[in-house]
This record gives sequence, C-alpha cells and structure tokens, in this order.
Amino acid sequence: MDSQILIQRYLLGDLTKAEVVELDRLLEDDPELRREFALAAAVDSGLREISFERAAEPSQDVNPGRPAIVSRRFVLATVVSMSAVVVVMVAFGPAFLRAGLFDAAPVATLVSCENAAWESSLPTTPGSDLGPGLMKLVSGIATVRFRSGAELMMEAPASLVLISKMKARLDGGAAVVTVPEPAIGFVLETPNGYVVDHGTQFAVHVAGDGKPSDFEVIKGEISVYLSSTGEEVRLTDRQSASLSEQKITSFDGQIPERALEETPRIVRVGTEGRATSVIRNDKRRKRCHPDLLMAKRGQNDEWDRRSMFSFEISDVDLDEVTSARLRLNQVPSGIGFATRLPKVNRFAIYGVTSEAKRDWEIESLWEDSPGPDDGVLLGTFEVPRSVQRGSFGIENQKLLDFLRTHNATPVTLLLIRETGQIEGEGPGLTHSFASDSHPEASGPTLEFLFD
Amino acid sequence: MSDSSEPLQKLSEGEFMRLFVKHEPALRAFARSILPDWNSVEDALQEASVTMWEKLGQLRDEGGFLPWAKVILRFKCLSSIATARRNWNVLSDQVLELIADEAEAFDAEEIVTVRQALNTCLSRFSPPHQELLLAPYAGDGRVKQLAEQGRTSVNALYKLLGRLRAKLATCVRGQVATEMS
Repeated sequence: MDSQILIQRYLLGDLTKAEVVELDRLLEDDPELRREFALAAAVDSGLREISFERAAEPSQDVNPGRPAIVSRRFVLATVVSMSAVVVVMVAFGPAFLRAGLFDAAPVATLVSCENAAWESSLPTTPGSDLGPGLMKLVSGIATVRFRSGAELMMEAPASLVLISKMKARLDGGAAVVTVPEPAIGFVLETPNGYVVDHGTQFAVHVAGDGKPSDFEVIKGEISVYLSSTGEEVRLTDRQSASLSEQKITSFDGQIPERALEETPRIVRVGTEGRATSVIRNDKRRKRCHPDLLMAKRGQNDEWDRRSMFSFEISDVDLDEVTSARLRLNQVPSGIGFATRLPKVNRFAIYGVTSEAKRDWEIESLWEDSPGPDDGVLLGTFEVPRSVQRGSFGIENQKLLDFLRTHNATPVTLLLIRETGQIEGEGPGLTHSFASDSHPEASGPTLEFLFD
Repeated sequence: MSDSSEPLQKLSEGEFMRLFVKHEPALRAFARSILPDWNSVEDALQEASVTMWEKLGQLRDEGGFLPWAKVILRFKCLSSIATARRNWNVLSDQVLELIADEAEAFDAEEIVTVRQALNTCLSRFSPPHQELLLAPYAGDGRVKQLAEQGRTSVNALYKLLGRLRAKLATCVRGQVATEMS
C-alpha cells in the first residue's frame, strides 16, 4: 500500500497489525515521511475543527447528529476514554482549564422554554440533552444549563452555539449567565471577544452586525477580552463594559441606554378598504370574509381563491423613492389543513395592467375580477406551511418601476398562490392575509423608502 | 509581552487561558501526531493543561509558551501510549519519539498556514467527497450511514476515504510549501 495511504488509514484507525508494522518500518527509515506524518496529523486536526464548525451551522446539512469522535473498531474504548475525561475534569485543576476542550458527550440541558420558537439542529423540548451545535431562538425565552452548572437564560432573537460544558458563543441576542462555583471559568464568546466568568451572574447583549456587545456584572466578577488586541478588563458588581471591534469601554454602573437608531424616511400607503378576495364558483360571495384576503390553489380548481387590492399613490413623489415594498400580514384562516400543502408555498404578486379589469368592485365575482393574464408578474414570496402568522411581501425594482409607470390612477395588485396541494385526500389550507378591517393585523401596505 | 528576565508567576488565570486557547489548535495537532485516537488526545491535553497551570512559574516568556507546553504535552502523550495500545494498533515507541521530534518543530505559524491551506484544498473536492472527508468526526455511524445511502460497504468507503485524505494531504503540502517559501 502507498505510504501516504498507510498514514491516512493509520490515523483513521483502519490498519491491521501487520500494516502498522510496515508503516513503522517505513517511518523509521525515512525522516521525510515522518514529517509528512506530522503534517497529516495537523491536517486531521484541522478537518476535525472544520467538521465541528460545520456541525454548528444548521444550513450545512453535513451532520445531523452531535459531533462526536468516531472509533470504527473500538466503540467500547471510546466510552471508557470519555469517562476518563470526565473524571480528570472533576478531579483536577482550576475550572477554567476545561474551557476550549471539546466534549463529545452532551454539554448542556435545555431547562425551560417560555413561548419559545426555534430554528435549531438540536432538540428543543425542555429536558432534552444538548450536544455541541447551534440554537437559534426566534421568539420567547429559553434557559440552557451546561453540564458544568453554568446557566444561560436567553431572550429572542438569539443565536447561541454550544461548544462545550464550559464554553459557548453568543452570536446575537441578550442573555443572563449565572455561574456557580464549579463552573467558574465559564467562557462566553461574542463576535469581538470573549468573557470569562469568575463566579455569579452577568448580563450580555450582542447586537451583531458589527455593533458593540454590552456586558454588565450583576453580581460577582468577570473578565472581558478583546480579540483584536488581547486587551482585558475586569469587571465587578454593577460594572459594565462595551466591546467593539477595536476597543473595550468600561463603565461604573449600567451602560447608558442606546438611542434608537435613526430610521430612514418611510411613507406608508394603505388600501383604504379597497381590497377583496374572489372565489371561483362562489356566485353569491358566501364564502368571502371582509377581514381576510385569501389565496388558494386547490386540487381541482373548484374553490380557488385570489385577492386584489389597490393603492392611491398619486401623492407620492416616486422620483425620490429609492425602494418600494408591498407588505402583507398573514393571519390564520381556519380553513383547510396545512399538512395537505407542500412544505413551502409560493405566492405571486401581479400588477394589473388591463384597462378593462382595473375597475373591479369589492363585490366582484371571479369572472369579473383581474387575473394573472390581466397584468405582469412583479415578484414572488414563500411561506412555509407551518407558518400562519407573520409579515410577507415583495421588495424589488420591478415593483417600483411598475408603480412609477402606473401611478396616475389607483394601482391594483393581485395576490395568487402558485403552489397547490400535495397528493392525497382532504382540503389544503387556505392562506389568508389581513385586510384593513382585520381586528389584529394591518391590511396590505405599500412602503416607500426615501434617502 | 512580559519582560524576559522576570518569571511569569504574575500571569493571571485569564492571561494563561488566553495563551492556552491561542495555542490549543497547535497543541492538539501535536498530540494527535503521537496518539492514535482523539479521546486519548483530549485526555492528554486536559492533563497537560493542569500540569501547565501548576508549573506556570517555570515559564519565563510568553513567547516561549508553545515549546514549553509541547514538552509537557509530549510527556503526557508518551506516558499514555501504553493505555492506548490496549485498544489500538500503535506505532513503536521509538518511531513515535521520532515523529514527536518532527511535530515539535511545527511552530504556531505553520499550523495556521496548514489550516488555511486545508480550507483552500477542501473546497476543491466535490460536496459528496467533502462530506465523506468530514464524516469520521461527525458522529457515531456517520460513515456507515453514508455507506448505506450510497449502497456501498463501509470497508469500500474507508478505502476511498484513505485515498481522498492522501490527496488532500498532498494538496495541503503543496500549498504550505508555496506559502512558506
């Protein structure tokens, strides 16, 4: 066997005794091969790091399980050795020495969730064991207890990477970290540095997007490190620090509240009640609801639904507008089953150009109302079948151009669902979006952004 | 950087940890060149870190941290070889000493260069081959799972993995040589 392949298969634990003897002889005689062996070990080490990094990214579907150490032939050896790691960790040394060492076993437990919604490759049921990986909390509050005893309570939206029982990374969001004595030395990395907890409790807020991260000691002591310079600041009770890419700024007491960011000028235009749905074959409009703008594409087209809405935009100085967005707020319709739909549903927005169909009425029937053939496609958006609330819409140059060329009279936009049902029996969900009369959510809105 | 004439006994927990974390990838790669499996590597690194903390007073200069730490780690690795032999087919002590000499010469900069080269070289492989290259670290049975998906045997996949890794190492070696020349 080629000496390079022998080295690689040795590192994979895949050589027989005789093959190891052969490799041993080759290495003994050849200093250059020994150097290549050392390089191969460094490459092996790097591959392992990359594997763990990718496992922490949900978009990289390389590893559905927790990162662990594979021993092809000696599974028992793995278990025995891992328990040895635990014994050593408990028995010796200052706690901070444990940080940075990768644990293959679960590193934490999800203790509790309050109205939590997740995007996570890890389990999200309270009580679940958590291996290393990414947890993205979309809404609500959740508490994670690390095996070291450190406890992290995070508030959405937050993005947390569990690394080991003594180490985690907060890429965004707010959290309060409580560190009891056995977990002293717990490390929390943030985009520009990391914090080492010397005991008790601190709060952290990571704004992301290059903005500073804020730390505040509630009780106890922490060290905050800046990665770019290695600078360190120690903070004790009620002291705070703000960590940007280039510097640490510390404060006595709380960090002054940041002013809300200045938002660009936006003009919003609603439909003023000019919005309706039509249903194929619904001659008496019995199935329409004034609060809902519905969209559906059924199996046999019998009860298809689409919606239209118009905006009076002649007062908007469109030459000064830099972008335009149509916003629709999804609300539950209570009609049909989401499980009868594909996992992702695509919706299209058309701009109506047909002169004949522009004068549609709120009470229009399917045949009299504008359809896709009466206009131009301006854009599409997607809604997962599992989602029945949220803000959706389109924002593109095509929409802005359309509005600029059709602003003399009220412009009509048309909403249709492009995707239908999946195979099987039973009605699929009718998607609906709020009209102006909906009691909770706002109706369709055009948002114009000015510089 | 500390004054080289002064012992580093004043090094705080935080300062020591910063040094340890900074050099951890190089130390891990060094231990891997001696030990046959990742669990033994992590054990040795853990034990060595405790010893480093205890003997921190010996360190005179932050710049000397990596070579000093490697000496401690080398001792821990070689002393745990006997245990590893119970479960693994391992190279002889004599050859492992020789390999450790080679690996000890790798400095921190070289390890960073290897990692950068690895990113470049890995991206040259097809996505399925990248997945296979990373599979041995990605959980129990991942290679087996890939074998089932690809309707091939685990043995065949390990053979392919050996060839792909050799190809990857050749690429990294070329990149590193260019970078260091």
